[in-house]
Amino acid sequence: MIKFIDANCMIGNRMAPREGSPVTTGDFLEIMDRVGIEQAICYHSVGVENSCLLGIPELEKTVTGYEDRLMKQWVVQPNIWDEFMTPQMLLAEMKKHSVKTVRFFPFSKQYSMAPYSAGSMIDALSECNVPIFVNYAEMQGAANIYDLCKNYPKAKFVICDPGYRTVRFLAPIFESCDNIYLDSSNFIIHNAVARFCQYVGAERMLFGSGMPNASAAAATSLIRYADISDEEKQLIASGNILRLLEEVAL
Amino acid sequence: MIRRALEGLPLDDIFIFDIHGHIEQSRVIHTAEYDAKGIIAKLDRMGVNAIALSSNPALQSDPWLGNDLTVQAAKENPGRIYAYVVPNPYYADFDVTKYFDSAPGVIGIKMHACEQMTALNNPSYIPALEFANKNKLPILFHTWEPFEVEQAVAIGKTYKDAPVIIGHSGFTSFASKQIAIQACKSTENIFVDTAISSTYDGAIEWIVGQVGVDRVLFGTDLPFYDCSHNVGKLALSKLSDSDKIKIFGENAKKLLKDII
Repeated sequence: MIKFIDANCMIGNRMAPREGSPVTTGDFLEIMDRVGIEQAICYHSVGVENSCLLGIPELEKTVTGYEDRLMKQWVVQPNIWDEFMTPQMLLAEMKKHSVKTVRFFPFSKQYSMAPYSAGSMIDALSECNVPIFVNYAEMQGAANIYDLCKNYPKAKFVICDPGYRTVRFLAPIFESCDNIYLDSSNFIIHNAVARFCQYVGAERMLFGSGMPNASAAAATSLIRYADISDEEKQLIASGNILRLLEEVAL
Repeated sequence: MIRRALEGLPLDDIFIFDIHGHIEQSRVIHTAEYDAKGIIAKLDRMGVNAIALSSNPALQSDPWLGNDLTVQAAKENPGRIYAYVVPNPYYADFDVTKYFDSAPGVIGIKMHACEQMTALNNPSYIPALEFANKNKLPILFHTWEPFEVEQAVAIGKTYKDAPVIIGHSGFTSFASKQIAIQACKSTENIFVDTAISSTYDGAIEWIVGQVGVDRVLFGTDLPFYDCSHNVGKLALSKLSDSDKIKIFGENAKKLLKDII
């Protein structure tokens, strides 16, 4: 059986849970058990819907007792006028709390990822090989994703929730930038996974469920039924994210 | 069923009919292996018995070219591919009825007003709707915005002998969803399908709780979504096996009993 580690999961009480969707930590663990996901890297809803700083202790509370199943990911932002943490403080806190990945939300939180704005934060993170997650939609255009990759050649970016309308935009970026990975959640067009493996390579896709707003059952099935080798399935399901996590040097 | 889905095995021990698919390339979405051969290869991989398709060229461009392609695919792949005819409100001489005489496997009408830059209540669609109603043929609607769901429901209430399928189940917004759910509850000939990209674990259980399992039909929107996406979502849901079997294919078998 394939070992799945979910690289894209949001937990915590959120503003608008849809009818029947998972809400409590128990709900998420039940789904993970049902569809065969061993662990999930989770960020907290408060971190994106409200405040990065508030999201950090909320995440700590939510995963306490479930550390064997739920790994922490912090929602972060540039330290504009001391609104957040300096890069040095962030790295120290991440090390202290065993956090190895971060996520930015530039559109939702209204800031720029350009070097003049987020440069010092992203440079510091990339010096420690911390994978940086950002949703496709948050970048407001594929050209911005391309610029992100080129502006920070030492960083490793994971583009999340790509959706089914992004292939024509993303494919050339994957060809010209080797510091970008793709989360599989919502990358759901016909034979998408197999074609990504063919044209880009399985080592650059990370399994993600997109929970709670997307289906983990669907996401795992996308990999299980893909017309690719078992080795490629295992790389995507957990091998790639484990490799990236091992490379983090805080 | 759960074990087979967890192992990535085809679900070929049950009958699965995909009520909502497309054939040929799309203008806006990268599509590959979008012809009959590519689609049937996916059906075989998943254990899906058959699929009903409408043509992307018919939705987006030339109605004759597009519908000819779908009907040809149905003719060449009997029992695996079925065809929806897409009416066109701009060409008065485009006659949907001739497709139903030309080949077996043509099962109903697909309506996609937004792709055709009009509205579902465009009077030019009426001849096609009346034909479907008279012959008790299913009408599958693409619906997205609340007004589209409302218009599809209004058509369903007008043409009571045609099974009306609210494609995507109104799951794009709270308002759309409520309109679709209420319509299923109040009108016997209205159904929803599972061809929804933006769903989560728990959605299908919630839909069944609202409208009842008999009103839910299995659909994937292939090739816009990979078939495994919706197969897995249903197979690994918390519904009972008997409910899953109904949604996967028994409901469609009942609806299309004279056809499939």
